Amino acid sequence: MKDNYLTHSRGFLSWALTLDHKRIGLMYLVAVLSSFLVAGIMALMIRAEHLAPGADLVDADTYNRLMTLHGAIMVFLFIIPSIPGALGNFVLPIMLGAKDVAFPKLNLCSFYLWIVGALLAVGSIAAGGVDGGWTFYTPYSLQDGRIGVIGMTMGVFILGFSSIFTGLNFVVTIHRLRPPGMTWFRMPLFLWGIYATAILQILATPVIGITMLLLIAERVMGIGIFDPALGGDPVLFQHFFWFYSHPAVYIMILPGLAIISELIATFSHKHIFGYSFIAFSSVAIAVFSFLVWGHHMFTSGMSPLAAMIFSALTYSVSIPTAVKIFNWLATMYKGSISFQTPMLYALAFIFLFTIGGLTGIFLGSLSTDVHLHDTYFVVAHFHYVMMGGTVIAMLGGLHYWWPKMTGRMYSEFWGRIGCLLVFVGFNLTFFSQFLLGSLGMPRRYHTYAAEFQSIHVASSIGSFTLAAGLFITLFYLVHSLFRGAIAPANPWGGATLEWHCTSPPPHDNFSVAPTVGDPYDYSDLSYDPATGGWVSKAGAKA
Amino acid sequence: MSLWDALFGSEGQLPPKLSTTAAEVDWLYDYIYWWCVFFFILIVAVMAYFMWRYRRRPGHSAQPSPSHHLGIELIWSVIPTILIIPIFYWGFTGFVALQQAPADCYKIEVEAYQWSWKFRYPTGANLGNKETPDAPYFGLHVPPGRNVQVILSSDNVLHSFYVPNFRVKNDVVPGRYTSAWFNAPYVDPDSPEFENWPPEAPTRLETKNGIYKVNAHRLFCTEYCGTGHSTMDSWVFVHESEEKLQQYLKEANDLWGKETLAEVGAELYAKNCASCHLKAGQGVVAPIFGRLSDNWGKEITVIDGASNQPVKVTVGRDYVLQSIQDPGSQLALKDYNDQGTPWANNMQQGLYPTLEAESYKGTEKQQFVGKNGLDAIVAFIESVNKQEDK
Repeated sequence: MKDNYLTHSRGFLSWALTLDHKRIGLMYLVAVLSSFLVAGIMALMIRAEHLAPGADLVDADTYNRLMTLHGAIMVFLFIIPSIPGALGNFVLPIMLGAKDVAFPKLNLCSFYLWIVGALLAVGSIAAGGVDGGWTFYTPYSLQDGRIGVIGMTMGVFILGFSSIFTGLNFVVTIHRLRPPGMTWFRMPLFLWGIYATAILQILATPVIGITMLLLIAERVMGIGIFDPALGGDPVLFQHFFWFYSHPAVYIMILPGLAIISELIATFSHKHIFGYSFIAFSSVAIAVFSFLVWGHHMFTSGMSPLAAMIFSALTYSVSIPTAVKIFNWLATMYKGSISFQTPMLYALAFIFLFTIGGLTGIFLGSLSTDVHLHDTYFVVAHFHYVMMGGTVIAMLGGLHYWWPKMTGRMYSEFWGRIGCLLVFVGFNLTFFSQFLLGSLGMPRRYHTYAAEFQSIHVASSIGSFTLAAGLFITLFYLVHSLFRGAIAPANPWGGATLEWHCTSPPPHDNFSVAPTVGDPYDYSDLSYDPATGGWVSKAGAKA
Repeated sequence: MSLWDALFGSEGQLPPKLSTTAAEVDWLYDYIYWWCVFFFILIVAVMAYFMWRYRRRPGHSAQPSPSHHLGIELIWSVIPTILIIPIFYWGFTGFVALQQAPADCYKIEVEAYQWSWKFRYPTGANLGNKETPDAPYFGLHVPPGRNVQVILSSDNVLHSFYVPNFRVKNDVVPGRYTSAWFNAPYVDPDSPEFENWPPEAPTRLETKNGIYKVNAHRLFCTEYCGTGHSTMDSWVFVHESEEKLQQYLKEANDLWGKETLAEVGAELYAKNCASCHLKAGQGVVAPIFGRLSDNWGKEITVIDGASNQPVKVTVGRDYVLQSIQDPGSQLALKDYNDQGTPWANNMQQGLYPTLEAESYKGTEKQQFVGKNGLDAIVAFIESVNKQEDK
């Protein structure tokens, strides 16, 4: 095998101290997927507990910790860094035609901050009392005995810096390191999505940092900020928390939307429809997302005027999101659609994200939200968006770039089986939860009323199916590392720059400077059965 | 209720509409639901059709088509925007209706704590959230077909008051009062129109004096509040008639044959407190309570026991309860009482509690009076002032 980034240097330190964005991306990938596994197992324990109404498997305190850690690990350790940290780090500079990100050392620092933040957050389990849900609402999180909350919030604070560093790096990279010919409107849409995300990471994350510091100050020094017993205001915490955490929802979903744009175009072998609408809708979503945080608090005793404004602004975010879905469908029109695993995930994404988006309308509307708020309806809605959206997109992206990252092909057969199980299991798990919520089942309940049992059982069965699909995926991906076929440079027929370099890419990404053209022009590509990949017609003739 | 019913909107997806505002919420829910079904089927059908029609196969290749079209893109941005406006508007008007309680409400104070509810009725009755051997009377009891407002408060953490059958929810925020209102009809449990959700909801309450027919609705806490969060539930009982409700409450609130809480307080006061704490006058051994009644609702200056600094407090339930249970925490100023009383002579700034007063905590006297008794005593002190107004 030719010299590539994996074989370029050897030994533990060559990885631990690497400044190569590809290696950092790979380390991020292992780290975030480990978090996904841990928090996923917690989810399975939660679902197993809910097979029956009473307290069966775990006691109330254990349940509350599982529920909290599942949420906190999934959000802060997995979803937020997943696509930018792992896939973004690996792909962004190559797609751009650059040799690395703008600040490679900051990039490595961001990864280690993630490690420190993760250790603090998970270590605080030992201190005990981390059970307020991932939102850490005051004054509950300030009650005596919740020492672990300090460690947890300190962890979130540090993870915030990790996120800011990544965002900063990407913004500067996209502004400064575009090679000649790579104009803003020749950038693949993945880069637009990551760019919009990075802006959010830089501007929104400091707010949660400050909030967590205030929480620690209140807890340690007894300054009254959020606790009414000390003269503070608990609703203020909710405002601060959601001022970050709502934009954070878009930090989670924008990169997912961006991956889908790449997948739909490549596997339809068709120029993306409405490039500039998709690009600007990412920016529009990023801007609007700052103005909607209040919709998490319609039942907190907000004034009807404020509630009205937040409801209207919330709907304004839904329009650019809907536009993207229509654009993807239009891209498939008159295409040549291949159903390889990444595309199956992209199609599953459209199905699931449509449900996730449409159910948001029930929650954005004020009077219906009063009934549905803090029930399983909300749980189902955000799992359709976060898991059906971001995680499915991440899996699609992972399968898409896996040959590029590892130089190996995975089993297409098992890939499709895994995707099918994930799709079926996911819908069974979370569609049931819409029904639970509309019937009035509150969220974060250890035990529940008997009338909800049959739907809970359906949901649990779904979650076990979903888990089976994910474990199959884990196995065939790991298997491919050792037994997989050697990957060609361009296995899917993608036209963006990362498919111009070898799989895996060389240490410096490109041996020859790539020619930058339209990232969605597939007319020059033809399938070469000899290598199992796509090659340039012009290149083949020459 | 079956999965089949659940396909057809609110009838199969939401609990029965058992309050006057529920119908309006459900109507909007259905309106949104059918638009969602329409768009979901449209998107998935188009996707499925393209998947089949343009699948990659021998002899098929991608056909050229425009890669952007301003007209189409504007149309599919503008149409959803127009469709969303009425949803937003009706959501807002429905929300205002849910938030603004009518003026003539029957008011019930609802206190949330970890992990139970306490319901305090205008008659002075205090009920807990669940039936126990010590407290056979429990739950939130409301009159039928009348506007009811619950005044929500919490002493430490967030909770949320949620009755799915009424489509009513409001957070209970420590340090402030929030509220919710509803108007629930009563339907005879034996009539065919009666809808029961959940199926096991009780329709009859048996007490030592008889049977009360009720419509019961689940009450949940929906804001995470700790270990007992999921067991912090109760029932809302809609009684047959307002008379039946009053009868139940009177029975529940055994007032030693008295009509009001204040009368109970007067008796408790006479038995337990009056030997030292007179209404007015001199030559007594403890603070007089008449000044409390006179100043009820007004702001006075006291010395904070911890910092020894003057602070302003409002004479009211909280202040009196606090002063009885923790006499050292807020000290009345010297000139607050008549000069020359034997127990105030040596005080520099504030009226320090005597040993006997300090020893109230944890004594037999406290156990006898109990928390509800204290409420009665406070009601008595307040009532003295009101009687004089009349």
